[in-house]
Amino acid sequence: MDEPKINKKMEKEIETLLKRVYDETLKEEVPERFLSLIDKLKKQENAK
Amino acid sequence: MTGPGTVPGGDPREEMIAHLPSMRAFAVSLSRDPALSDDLVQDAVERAWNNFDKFKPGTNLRAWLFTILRNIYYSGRRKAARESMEKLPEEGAVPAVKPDHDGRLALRDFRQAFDTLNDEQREALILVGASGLSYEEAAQTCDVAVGTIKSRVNRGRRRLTELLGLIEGDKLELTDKPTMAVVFAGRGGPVIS
Repeated sequence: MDEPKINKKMEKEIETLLKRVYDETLKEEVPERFLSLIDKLKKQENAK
Repeated sequence: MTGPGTVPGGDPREEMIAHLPSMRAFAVSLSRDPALSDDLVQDAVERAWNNFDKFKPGTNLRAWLFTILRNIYYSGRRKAARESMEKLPEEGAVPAVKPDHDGRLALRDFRQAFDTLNDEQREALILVGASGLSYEEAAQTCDVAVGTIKSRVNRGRRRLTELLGLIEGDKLELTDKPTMAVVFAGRGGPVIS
């Protein structure tokens, strides 16, 4: 089966779209639960 | 070891906070499920925190965190597969996305196509193409040879071009329909070459 050819422009477009998809989540505010989790882990350790 | 989350004299593990956004983005691309991905990140943070002594200072903390996260993801998948005897979808089993473009590639089409790639191709493309890890770091994260990562990236790109119905010479523009509607409002519509 012939594989589709990818030229440099297509490769670049795919990378740009990948980054856009990835960046959508990256730009979201980090949910509070993670910061609370880190606080909890620190407290647990300090209590030992 | 320094980084954007480093507090001088503070706990180096707090650097993880700076990597939470990229951990979430990687988890979403792996699991394709935002709720599950936050659970994955939570498990990964706990595991990394409790095993921080295994992190080698001077190496890439983000890559190390990604390794932990993907191990949790794959171990969960294997467990679920054993429990339900589910058959994992094979590449090619998913029907190709019919592209909704006339010379332009919509972001929605791309996301749909990306989600149909297999796990290995999705993670290789995200690690190298979006999160900026080197091929070597991505290979280490996935515990495979550098050549394997390169091959997965290439196969993933080729698969995307198939799914999106792209052929060499297609004119691609990074514009989705709503954006184009705004751009061309009052101009008598787009000129497609």
